[in-house]
Amino acid sequence: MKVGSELFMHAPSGASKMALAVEIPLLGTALTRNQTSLDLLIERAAAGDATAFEQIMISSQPRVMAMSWRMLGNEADARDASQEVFLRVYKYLGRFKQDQDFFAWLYRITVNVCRDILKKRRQQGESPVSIAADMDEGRPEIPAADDDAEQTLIHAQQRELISRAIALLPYKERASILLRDVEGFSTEEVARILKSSSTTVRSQISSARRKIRDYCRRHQGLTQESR
Amino acid sequence: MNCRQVEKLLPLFTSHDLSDERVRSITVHLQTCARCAAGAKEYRETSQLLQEFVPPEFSEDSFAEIRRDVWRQIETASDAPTLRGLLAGWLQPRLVWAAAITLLVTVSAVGIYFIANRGTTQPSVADKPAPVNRNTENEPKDKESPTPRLASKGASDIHPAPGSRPRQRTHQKVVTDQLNSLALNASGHASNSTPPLTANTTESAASFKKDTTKTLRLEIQTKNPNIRIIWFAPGETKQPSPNSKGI
Repeated sequence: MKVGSELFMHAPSGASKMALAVEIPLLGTALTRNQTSLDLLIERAAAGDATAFEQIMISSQPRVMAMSWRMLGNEADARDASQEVFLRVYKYLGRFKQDQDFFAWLYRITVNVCRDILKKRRQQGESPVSIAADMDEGRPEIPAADDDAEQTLIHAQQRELISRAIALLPYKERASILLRDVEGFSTEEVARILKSSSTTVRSQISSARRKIRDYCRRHQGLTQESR
Repeated sequence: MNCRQVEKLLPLFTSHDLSDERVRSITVHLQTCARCAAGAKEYRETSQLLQEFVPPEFSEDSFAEIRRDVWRQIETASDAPTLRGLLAGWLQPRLVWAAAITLLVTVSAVGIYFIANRGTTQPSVADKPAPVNRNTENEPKDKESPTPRLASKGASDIHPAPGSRPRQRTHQKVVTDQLNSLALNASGHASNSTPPLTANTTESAASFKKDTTKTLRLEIQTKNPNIRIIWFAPGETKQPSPNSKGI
């Protein structure tokens, strides 16, 4: 992929001075091991290095896509969201401070982008989320830990239940519980990402867990009865 | 701790989001309460299920496509001038300074021009047409000032207030107004019988209008053909005194 000099017009800082076309390696093979440090990459990308920015995208894309998919519930929206996330990262990388946690910053942008998409979707009067439908279309590989077909089916049903329960959560509770329970951030980190207090996040997490538990309890019973 | 309190804290108990003291209390309660213990088990299972809430696998092609789209949008954005960019371009410090200085110089020049012209380009009294109106409204306002009255009605208007020393322009205007007034009176009188003003009066008035620095000489013919009012007045420095007139 050729990147012309005009690409650097809006780069965070000093990028316009780089007037050379850059051949971007797809899997970052051009970068040596010493250069792969995240801090160095961020520094270089902030200075307008397209290769470094491409590397950042490659390394963080799976996380951004996964979080976007969990928040939005379908692949199409998740793709749009991750695209917008990287555009914002490119735009605001100059403001990123090196002492910050890059992935926390990235998740904050992701959550904000997802919130904007959800808001737009609500304004257009679309249905909240369609995780279940998306899962039906491209059902993920179920780990074959148990050979028993019934166990596998139960497992799949439970996961579907969880996804539906999450889809019904309010945006803030959804973001809190996904960051805390799925992405593995601490409550304090979640609070920082969401620009909220720990107490509020704790309350949101508690409420979300309760709702998911109640939803699963209610629908699990129905599922078992139907079987 | 009772069941209600424990039930409230159970969602946070499973993820160790509580203080050690509360965790101890709840643990003690769960050992004795089967219902709350079952609730805690449900939360643990839910938490495990959440860990398995994984998205479908996205192909490397789709990732690459997203990256290509990102670069394409960056390229497009760099081509299109944004409002912010335009504003930033306009609000460059150098440009702002240049605009401010230009504005200041322009305003100063216009101000100086007007101030300078205010003193010089005020319409000259000589250019003013004499009022044709015969109404007494056109007579000067200082008509009732305590001036010594002359025999002639028209002559009473030609004297400025004694003791006052108006500025040149004011004085010039007053005298011109008085002249006009006199011309009116004279012509009013003449309309009945003889031509209005004598040649001397007109000449003197004209000469006064041309140059106020010369001595002014006014001759006014009254109703009585034997009485003529002649008035001498200095140009600009000397205040005309009542003694300067002769009959």
